[in-house]
Amino acid sequence: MTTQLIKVRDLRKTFTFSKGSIFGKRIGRVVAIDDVNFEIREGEILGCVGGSGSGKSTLGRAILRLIPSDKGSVTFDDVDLMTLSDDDLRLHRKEMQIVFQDPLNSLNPRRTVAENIARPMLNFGYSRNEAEEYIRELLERVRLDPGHANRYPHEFSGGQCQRIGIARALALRPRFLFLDEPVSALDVSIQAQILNLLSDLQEKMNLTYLFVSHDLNIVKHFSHRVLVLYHGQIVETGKSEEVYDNPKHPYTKTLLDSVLKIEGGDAWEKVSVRTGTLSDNEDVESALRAKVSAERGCIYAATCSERLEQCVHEVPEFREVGPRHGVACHLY
Amino acid sequence: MFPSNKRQDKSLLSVQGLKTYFDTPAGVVKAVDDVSFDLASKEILAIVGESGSGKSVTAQSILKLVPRPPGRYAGGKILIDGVDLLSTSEPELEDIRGQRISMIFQNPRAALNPSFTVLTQLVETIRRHNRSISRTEAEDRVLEILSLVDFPDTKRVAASYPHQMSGGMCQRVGIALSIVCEPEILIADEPTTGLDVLVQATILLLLKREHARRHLPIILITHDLGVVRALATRIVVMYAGKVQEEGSADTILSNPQHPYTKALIDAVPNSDRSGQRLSQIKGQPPDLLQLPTGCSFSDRCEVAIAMCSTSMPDLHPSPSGSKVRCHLFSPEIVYSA
Repeated sequence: MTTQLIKVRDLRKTFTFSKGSIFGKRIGRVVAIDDVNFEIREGEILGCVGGSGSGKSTLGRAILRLIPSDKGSVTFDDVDLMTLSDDDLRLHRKEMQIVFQDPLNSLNPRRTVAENIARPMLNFGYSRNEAEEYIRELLERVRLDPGHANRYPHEFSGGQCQRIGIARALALRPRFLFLDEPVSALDVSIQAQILNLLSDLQEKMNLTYLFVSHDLNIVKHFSHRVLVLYHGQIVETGKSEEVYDNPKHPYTKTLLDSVLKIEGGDAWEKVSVRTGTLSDNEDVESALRAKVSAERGCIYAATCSERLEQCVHEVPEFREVGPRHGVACHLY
Repeated sequence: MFPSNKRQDKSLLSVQGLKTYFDTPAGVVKAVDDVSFDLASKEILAIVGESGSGKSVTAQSILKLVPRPPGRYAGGKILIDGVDLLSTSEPELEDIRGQRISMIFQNPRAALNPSFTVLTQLVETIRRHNRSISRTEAEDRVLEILSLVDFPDTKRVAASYPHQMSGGMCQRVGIALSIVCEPEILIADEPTTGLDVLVQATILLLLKREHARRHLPIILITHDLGVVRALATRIVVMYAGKVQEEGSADTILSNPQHPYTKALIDAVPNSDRSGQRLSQIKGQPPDLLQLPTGCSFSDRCEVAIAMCSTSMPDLHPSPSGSKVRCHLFSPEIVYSA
């Protein structure tokens, strides 16, 4: 039995909107993550998919405590990160790192590659000599020429910058990486290079990943298990092949149908009709949405094409529908 | 399959030997270097490529939208009804843009004017090209076109400003703007990049429907082979400013000939090959200031032969029916191989 590296319990994050200046009136609140529960096993690649605004990036950031959460706990190796003091959190942060979406903007343009990678090590008390030696090794590991260590980020292409970002994330020998759309900004031919590199590193260093992407093909290819997020809630989770080959939740099915395949297929053409984006009942839908939220029904009920009577006023429980395959839907 | 060079439809737009260069302090960047293709009526032609391939600059060149300087048109012709757009004056071009050839841009919000309502922008476009139309007539036309891109409450959308709408809604307004004058040709430059997958499906469906409604020929610029498969009938694959392969969409996607096209298709994660390593293209995207001598792809090509790094190949016909810029398809090579 492998150990659970990260346990997330009832994690909730809301954002409030204000009108006017910082003293302005609060005018609204958006629930970005809504009481989410899940675990990540040591050595596992957990993919996280969802539409824009589903809360996938917020989820990763909340786990690393890069943003404060409203409630809930995140335990990393049985330590609750949410209750740690800032100093203790800093020590634990060594073990958890992040790779950002925008490879160039996440590096300091005024520092050389070596300085960019050395920064976290110097922060944690490594000597310059130690850092320098390890940087050579890191650059080789991400398959960059160590001879280029003294160049600046703008001298590299997007894919190379992402390799530098990965080298920096690995500098403190972390056990967990949060990969926030790491290949979305890259060309197709470079995406494959970076994904292969990440999976090699994962195997060699026994890393654990939370991999967020809007590209369902990539998530399927890359992750062992997958979470499907909709409006901050996990609507389905399971082994990648299981969820992709045998999706249960209507939202998962819609997401999968919208994927455009090189081999062809016209499932995507029916998506718009089903989700109501191309229909004339927007007003009906928003009325329904208001009703669902007033009566605390399923968050997907207003858009769902397989809606039942109870969906409007009853939140579906998360149920197991197969081995390690769970879904939050009244249909099951 | 018909032999690919025989085209039954007459070509609407013909790009011949287009060269769009940029003068930079570091040297001349040949973003589009001797590109030729024809757009036949009723077809959706996809120009596919990665960053630096010249696909977007090609699209912008057609409407003469490339900023000059640093850009310049160093050669070639863009013919529509026998008239060369590159030598057409700016006032005449303004009549062509939007009216005969219109464009959908990648960033829908940036393509709209933030300080005017959707109605104002659409009315302005209509009346710019047809001064005889009255304001009320134009407004009726706007509501009609907004319902065509499937807005249920057209009046509310017409009164909205771009910041009040989502990215997907802005792109639908972008499509409305581009079709409101019933153009002869539509250029869609990465119309769904940056949009959610579900919104992408909607936008593509709208384009497909508009194409079906009045056989509107579309030039689709994209890096996404899934989008190409969903819409395109013919494909031009570009790399480093040159056309590398050209042929019907079915042929190229199911039976690619150029080593670059093959590698590109193989690099896309595919449900059949799940769990296996992705095949990757070695090396970096082309640096247009330091292209390898000979074939631009030779330094990344797995099957390059000696002459690939010395001479630029021509476009050769291939057995699949597509045209391929690769020495491996040159008639002389067949004997020595």
